[in-house]
Amino acid sequence: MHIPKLFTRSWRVLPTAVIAAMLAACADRPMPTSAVPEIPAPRLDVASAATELFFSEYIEGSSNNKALEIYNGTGSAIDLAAGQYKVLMYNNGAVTPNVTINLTGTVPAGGVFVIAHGSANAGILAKANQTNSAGWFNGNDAVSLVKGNTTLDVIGQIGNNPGTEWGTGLTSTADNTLRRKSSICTGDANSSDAFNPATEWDGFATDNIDGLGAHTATCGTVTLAPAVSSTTPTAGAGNVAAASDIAVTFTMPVTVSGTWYTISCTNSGAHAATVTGGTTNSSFTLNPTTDFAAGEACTVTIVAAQVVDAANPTVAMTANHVLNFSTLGGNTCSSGFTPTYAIQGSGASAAITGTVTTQGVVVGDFEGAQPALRGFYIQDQTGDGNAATSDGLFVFNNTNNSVSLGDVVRVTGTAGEFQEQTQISNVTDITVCSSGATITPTDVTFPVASSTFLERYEGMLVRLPQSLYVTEHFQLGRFGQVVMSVNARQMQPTNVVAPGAAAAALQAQNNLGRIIIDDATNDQNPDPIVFGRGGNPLSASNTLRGGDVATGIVGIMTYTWSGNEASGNAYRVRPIGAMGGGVPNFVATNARPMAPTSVGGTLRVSSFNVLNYFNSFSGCTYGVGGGSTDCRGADSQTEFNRQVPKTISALMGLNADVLGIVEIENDGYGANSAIAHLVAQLNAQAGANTYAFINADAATSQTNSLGTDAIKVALIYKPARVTPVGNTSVLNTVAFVNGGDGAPRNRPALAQAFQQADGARFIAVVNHFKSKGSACNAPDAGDGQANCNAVRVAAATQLRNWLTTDPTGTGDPDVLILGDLNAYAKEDPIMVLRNAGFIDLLESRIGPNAYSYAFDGQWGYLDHAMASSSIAAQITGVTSWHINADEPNILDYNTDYKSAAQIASLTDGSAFRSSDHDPVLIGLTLTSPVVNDPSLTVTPPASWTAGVSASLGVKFSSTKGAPYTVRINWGDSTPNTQFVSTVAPTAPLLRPHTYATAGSHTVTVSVTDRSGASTTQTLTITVQ
Amino acid sequence: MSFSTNLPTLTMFTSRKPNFFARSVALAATAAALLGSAIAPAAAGAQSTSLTIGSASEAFPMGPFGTLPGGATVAMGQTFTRPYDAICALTCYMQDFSFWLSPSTDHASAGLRLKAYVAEWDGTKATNVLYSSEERVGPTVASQQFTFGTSSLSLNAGTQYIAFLSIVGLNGLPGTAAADMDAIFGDPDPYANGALVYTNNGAIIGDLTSTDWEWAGDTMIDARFDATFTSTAVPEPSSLVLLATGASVLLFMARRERA
Repeated sequence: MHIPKLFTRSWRVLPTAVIAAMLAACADRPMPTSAVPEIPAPRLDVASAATELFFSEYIEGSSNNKALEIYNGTGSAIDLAAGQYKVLMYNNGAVTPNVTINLTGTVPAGGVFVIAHGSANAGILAKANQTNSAGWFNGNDAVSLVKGNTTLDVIGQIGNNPGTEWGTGLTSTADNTLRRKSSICTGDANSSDAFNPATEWDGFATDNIDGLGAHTATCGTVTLAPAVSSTTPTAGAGNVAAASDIAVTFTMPVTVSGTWYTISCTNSGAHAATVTGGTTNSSFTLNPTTDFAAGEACTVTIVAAQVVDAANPTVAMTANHVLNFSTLGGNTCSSGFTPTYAIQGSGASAAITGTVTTQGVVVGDFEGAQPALRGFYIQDQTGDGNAATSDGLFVFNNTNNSVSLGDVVRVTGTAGEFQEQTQISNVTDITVCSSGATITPTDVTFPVASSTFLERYEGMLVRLPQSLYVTEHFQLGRFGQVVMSVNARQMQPTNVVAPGAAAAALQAQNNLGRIIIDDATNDQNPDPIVFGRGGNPLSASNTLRGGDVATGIVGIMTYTWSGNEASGNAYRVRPIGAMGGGVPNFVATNARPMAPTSVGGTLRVSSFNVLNYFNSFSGCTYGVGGGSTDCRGADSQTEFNRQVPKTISALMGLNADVLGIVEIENDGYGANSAIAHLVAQLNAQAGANTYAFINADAATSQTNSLGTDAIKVALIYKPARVTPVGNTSVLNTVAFVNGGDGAPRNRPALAQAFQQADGARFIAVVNHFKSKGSACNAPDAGDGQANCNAVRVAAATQLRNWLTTDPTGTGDPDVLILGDLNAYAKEDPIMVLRNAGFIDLLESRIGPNAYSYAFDGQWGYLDHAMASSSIAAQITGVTSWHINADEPNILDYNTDYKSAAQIASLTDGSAFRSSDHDPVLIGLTLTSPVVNDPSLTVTPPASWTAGVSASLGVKFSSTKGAPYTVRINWGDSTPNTQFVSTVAPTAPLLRPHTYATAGSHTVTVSVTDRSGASTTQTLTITVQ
Repeated sequence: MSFSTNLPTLTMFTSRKPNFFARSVALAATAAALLGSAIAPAAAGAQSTSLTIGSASEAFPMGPFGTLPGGATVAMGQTFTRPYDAICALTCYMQDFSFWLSPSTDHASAGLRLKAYVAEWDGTKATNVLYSSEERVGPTVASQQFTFGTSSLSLNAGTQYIAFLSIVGLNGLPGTAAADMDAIFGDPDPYANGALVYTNNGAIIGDLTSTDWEWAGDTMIDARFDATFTSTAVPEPSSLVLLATGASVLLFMARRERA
């Protein structure tokens, strides 16, 4: 028996699960009754390897002890997110999934992936690779494993509810554990066929988790090919004696033939050898017929095609095995060395570790004390010609300055990984062999093939030949870095595609199309900040805007952080200090808009998140009389004096007649309040009494009508242009503010109708929904909408409902929903409003690439303008004025972490980077005046059911006054409902009606006012 | 546009209810018991005429009449003139009138109380209150009739009068209590000599006679209204007591003869 040899694989990593599977599989197989030493026993060699993932364990235990195990028998690791694998659960015979879980992570070859309910017991959770806390399946619910849109495996029968369970006894889907039979190699992809678990599953008692975390299958492993398991000398060895033999051991007995090895050295050339071990053996010794020369580099290659499995001669080695070593003696630069590419290898980590001597050309010199990188990058002078392996690496040289660009240096030290970058540390010798060498940079183009693709360039001199676009400069001030992307700056996925799979796919695509460009050091808050336009440092007047372009950047592909955990270890191209590099020429492709794009019209409406306008620097409270809280804005009068001119510049530039403000200090409306301060500052520029603000507390007779957060929304307007009419109204119900959570989340909304001199009106509603920044009760669903989506959906729903109740009492249908909804264009809250008939003006007037905000280097708009259908036709133009999102945040008013020189140079009184959000500006030509006098609002009940009384709401008013004669023709030949009201009702008057039969009816409601003027509304209703 | 397929009815008829006009008979009987049969013919001879606007089947609700937080109608009634017929050709005495009220469809009605009045109407407001009733409790059922006896209120020819209901001056009304008055649409106008009128302003009766009413009526809407008139005054029980004195009898007879 040669069983142990079966499991001696040449692969560097052999999952224990695979070993277990193979052992178990072998145990199931009939073994030879007698072993013949010369002929090795048959090896595990199964023809029908699994080609896809399938369920291998199903736990439907007590309480939430629920889990699914997914087995990978394909022989290759599988990235679940990249493959868009997901688990779907269909409750009670449903045909559409009630629960969808997008899987993330990797299933190793031969391994399993466990997804468990988040409230499962500790034993299950200990085995879980992913958890989810939705309402999971019971025994009568179908579960499927899907890849993209392809069903791979189904437990149960979709669309069929068996009542309690499928199967019987222990082998049933309720209150049992099911384990896939080891003979099963593929999932049950037919979702509609009858399901009997006994066919493919073994049953176990409730809560049995003995098998969770590993799976045994007689398929799914791949044929084992022979490979080299060890050599003497070892790979990368130095100081090998010139007379040494070379020993080679394989993972199994092999048969060698022909030219199955070559030996070649830098000085002594090719070597023949005498072979010990015959032609079939596990180990062979090569004794070179001539000894090696002193101090040279040698390469031994075992030729794959000439080495086959002794027991199965059709199976050859899968790849050549290459062994590099260097021999003892000689002078430093002429002796052998281990090439940099051999040290790097093709994997994520160094292929050779320990003491090595290597050599290369200095392509990046980052020597010196911190914050310098304290070392240099060398790249092999010729390279190995293998695109999959890097030819460069980092030499850590502490504070020494030993080399210059172009030097050919010989380095001896310890090879290994430091913060996941391959480097030589503990350097004992650096010898400059020659100078003036050049390396041609390797072109790297985006998008790359995978998240690990850039590893093949780690430490190398690279060129980025494409035009790359500045997509993030959030850390430009702190770390001196920008993120650049190919084709264009990157859109926030949920701004352009639906949340969920589509957003995940775009996110994955974005991730492969971007690269960090970093300065030469790991300095934090560097001065100067070297990345500005035109190769000049950043300043208030020399910005670096999102969308600016640099082409042909040459630098070192480092894998480093930038001096702090906040920067993260990542692939960073560092052009400064690289051979042929230098500060990139960022071209001002995205010009600063000195004024908003013209929006036309005769009325300008805007909304602006002003980024915490606080005129208090201490003693701030949660609303008037509330508990203490941080002052979120300027830290001091000094900072405030820098903030005010920027904010006022922006507001003056907007020149809005009606302006919704988001993020202003919530401290009432007194003379010292933030809103009074802002309007006073604005009037100081625009002229006395040009602007006024809406005092929502006074108008609603409430204190803190706009909530008790530290911030609130506000409305300011030009009294000479518009007059507030109707009721100032706030939406501050618990249902809206809490959004279903246990604490306040959304800031109350403010609605106000405004009237022009000609009588034309519209209604502005300013909002600030809960942000994505901190968690709410429901966890982030992972669909791209980030935290608190449910709270924002609830807010949008409440807002929609509120607006149907005519909160301003004007009955005007022209509504603009403004403000920071903290939801991108394709997210659920926006869809709630769109489905209610509101038109997303940024999408319809600007297009899908509209943006007002950048996060994580991805662009979209949180600052919305959504129009009711009646006002949409009165809109002449819409723009986001890109004064802020495009500008580096380091240019804002803050003085933190800035040198005295930077405090002066990085901030000016311009509108640019006055906030983190871009303001929205809308041009309107309101159709004058509202013709509906009397006004009439008819509110149907949620539904009509035949034979059941339901009530129609009728609300009316007129400038002419009472009496109001109301007639309702129900459209079903029953008598009209008629009445006369001597007052305009403050709430809809409900008039009940019972329809005898189902069907469609036309209801006609008319109201006639004192003057005899009438308004009629007709609606078609469907009786169920 | 057609407001109603049913034309409202106006009934103005002269009835000769020979010798036994109901009220008169009742009064006569009372008087006879007290004073003897010689008195009875004086009343029994009175001729009556009725003014009736609308009917139950035509009525629709109009309101809110009462008291509401956001304001409501505080006085509501019907303007009219004394009938132009033979009964009232020379002298005319209003004996009673009725309105119909329903609990409000939209508001609470409990606690509503009201009084009825007859006054002269100058085209925009009431003047010279001639009659006021005792306090009544508001309606508890739909289209509840409220009748007020006016004790032979003498009406002049050529003067427009108003009969109305009001809550002004009543203490202890709740903040919310409203009723709807039965009203009648008209096209053509069911009653050419008056209309439904109302006002939403006023706290005391003096406000109703000093300030123009909010709605002085048009030809399209009238109250559902009923009133009875006689050509001669009819004594009330209290008056009958006075008949015990000869002076009263003489006075009564003298007036009758003038008629």
